[in-house]
Amino acid sequence: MDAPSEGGGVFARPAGEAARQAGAVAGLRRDVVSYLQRKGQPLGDAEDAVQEAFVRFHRAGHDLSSPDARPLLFVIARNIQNDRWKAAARESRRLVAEDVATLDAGPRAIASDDRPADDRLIGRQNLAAAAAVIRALPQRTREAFLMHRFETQTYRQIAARLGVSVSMVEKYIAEALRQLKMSAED
Amino acid sequence: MIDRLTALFARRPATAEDWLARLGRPGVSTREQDRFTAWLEADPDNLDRYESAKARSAALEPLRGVFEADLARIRWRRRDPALSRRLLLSGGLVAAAAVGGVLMWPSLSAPAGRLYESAPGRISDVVLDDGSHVTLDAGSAIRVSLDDRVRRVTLERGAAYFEVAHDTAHPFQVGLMDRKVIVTGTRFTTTLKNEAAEVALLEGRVVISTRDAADGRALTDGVAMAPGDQAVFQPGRPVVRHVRDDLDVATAWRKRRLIFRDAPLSEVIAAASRYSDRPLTIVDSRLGALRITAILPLDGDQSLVDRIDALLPVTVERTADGRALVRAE
Repeated sequence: MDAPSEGGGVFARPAGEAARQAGAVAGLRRDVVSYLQRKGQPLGDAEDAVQEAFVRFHRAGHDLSSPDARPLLFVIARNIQNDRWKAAARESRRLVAEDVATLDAGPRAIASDDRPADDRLIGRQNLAAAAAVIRALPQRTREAFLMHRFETQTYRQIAARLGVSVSMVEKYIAEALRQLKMSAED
Repeated sequence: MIDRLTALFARRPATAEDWLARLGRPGVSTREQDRFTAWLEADPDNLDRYESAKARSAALEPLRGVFEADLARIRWRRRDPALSRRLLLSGGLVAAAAVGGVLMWPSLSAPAGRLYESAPGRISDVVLDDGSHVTLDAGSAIRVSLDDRVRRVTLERGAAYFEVAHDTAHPFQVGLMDRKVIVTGTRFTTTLKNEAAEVALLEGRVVISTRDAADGRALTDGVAMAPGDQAVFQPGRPVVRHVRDDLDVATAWRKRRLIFRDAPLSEVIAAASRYSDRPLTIVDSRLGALRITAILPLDGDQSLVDRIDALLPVTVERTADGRALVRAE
């Protein structure tokens, strides 16, 4: 009666890295600030946007220890900065011209957590459809995806199990994700 | 290292799904992260596409249980075509004549494997690592040892219902006294009671043999059963087969209910006692002969004593010393 291991995020990492990760956050924060500065932001504003970016990053369910963390934080912070600029520009125009019309457009969504929550959730029948999509995948694609998604095995472990290369495992995972996307859009 | 090199030559990811798959690789390089940043910057909608792909994957979490049996099969499976060849050569599960003089086949290995036990009065479900499903009757125990060749289970006491995951390369066998019930994928129950063993076959085919499934002769010199058959045997004695039309009734406990068709109340109460937290006693001996036709559910919130009280033409009195007395209504 082995319980499956908990976790199961797309990028789950061994628990031992958690402590090291805490120390890495400060460095990551500095990197995001310097990224924004490279994009031409004044320092004071940048610190502010970085703070908000981290909040949105966590709210969207991302994980700091995964390799997509840095790029995601960069772009989320950049979007926040851009929207602030636009809002500030509108505000100054409004003060001059009382141009209320542009306000109706509203700020562009920065990260997807701005959308209604149930947009993100997969309903019961969609979940059944997703299960059917997974079942219909070719055997190796299905097995690679199941091991990746529900057992959080590394690509290397999956490759050894299936007797294929790590690149092949990547292709299997991408294919499974593509099929799931197509079924979700129907 | 070779993984890193091939990653350099791999096609650059073009879609959110490609990127999600790419970033799952071991040791994603800084250069790869920079490329991902560039992709996110290239189109204002790419962040949303990527987050949606990730969220779709995260939302699959409730399906974990749905695929548990598939995962168990993957975990356990080994590449071993040798045995499936041997099974094919011996003609699969062919019917074979019952052996007259039965050889005792001493078990050479000490009890090994994992023990699953159900508590008294409690029916339990088990999913084995090969994906097979077992329902253990109240107060039962099985020992499970899956190896590269044979999925071996031993019924140590009580009764167990098996839904065997189909895998012709790895026969599934249930050790029952001095016999093995050998199958590749089917549904059946095994029971130990009154110094005898019973096998009831609901679907598919099984062979009852004195040999281990790893022995090529196990299938040819065993006793084959057909659906609806019940086989009864004692150690060292021949297997007796009955054709029964009521196996669903006899094995109803696996669906957590007891079914009685025109059975004496004494039998009903004896069967129900196994699942009750209080011993049930019929006070009036003449009452025991009363004929009963009933379906008695074994699960749910209501206690079995309350159910008997409500469903059968009797009243049940609970005593201070923890018994339940069955009287005429």
